[in-house]
Amino acid sequence: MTSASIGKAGRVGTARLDAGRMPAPPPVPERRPFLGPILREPLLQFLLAGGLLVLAARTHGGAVDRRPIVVDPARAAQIDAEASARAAAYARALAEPERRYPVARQDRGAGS
Amino acid sequence: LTAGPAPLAYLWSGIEHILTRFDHLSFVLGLVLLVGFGPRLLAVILAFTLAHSITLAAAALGLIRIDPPLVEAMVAMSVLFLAVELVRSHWGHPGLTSSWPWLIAFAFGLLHGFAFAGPLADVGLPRDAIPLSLFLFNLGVVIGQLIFVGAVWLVFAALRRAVPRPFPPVAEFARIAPPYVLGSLAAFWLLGRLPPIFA
Repeated sequence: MTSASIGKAGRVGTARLDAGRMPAPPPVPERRPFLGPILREPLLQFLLAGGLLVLAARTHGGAVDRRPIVVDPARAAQIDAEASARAAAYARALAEPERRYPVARQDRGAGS
Repeated sequence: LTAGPAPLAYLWSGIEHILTRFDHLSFVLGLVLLVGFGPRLLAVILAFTLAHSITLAAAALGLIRIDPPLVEAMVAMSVLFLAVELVRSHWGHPGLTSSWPWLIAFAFGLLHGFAFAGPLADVGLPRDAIPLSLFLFNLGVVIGQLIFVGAVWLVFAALRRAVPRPFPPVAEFARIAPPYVLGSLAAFWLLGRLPPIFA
């Protein structure tokens, strides 16, 4: 065995020792978590679901939280009276033909 | 404090109030899911009852007053908190609630007591029988709670009998679904109750 081959054998021996190990993988760029970990938070999941429920309730015209509405009786009576007065005035207006067809009456008068 | 209905009517009023309020019932259900049907449930229910009795009496007698919309929002928040704790505990991250459930039941029970005081204030308390009426209303709330816990136990027992060995994914779903339903509902309530606070 020449000195050169001994030198090579030393290298080969080193290579044999390294052969059992896997070569280190090339560095992979780390994936930055975007929404995943946040979306795994139960609180956020619930808030999202609750928000969707609120949206659905509003879209379908339902009240978000049905609770008895406390009405001031005096204010309710006032609103009622105002509405009745408006309805009566409208009914009177409809009953008077000259108010319903003022232009037609003028035309008739002008023609005769 | 005004003259109101006969004291015995307060008992029924208490039962009716708790059984028609899904937010309170959701909290009780959350406690049941957390501790199961064992001796711990008794301690938790006792802590909750003691706490809401204290604040109900204080609020009904006018000693403490909190804005009702704020109380309603905080009740929803208590259910949300419990649902989050249930889910975390399910995934192997038990928190304070799992270690000391009675403490959480007591703390949030104080809040629920303020909410119970609302309907009692609407009805009023008879001048000549304030302690008795208050006691009967509170007793009604406790009876309502026990009726609900009994109903939940019956449903669980019936399910166990009907499906003794559920398919594992189904069993897993059955364990995790109730906290998710509770949490979503609680968030829905909370989001709906926040605007009146700032109105």
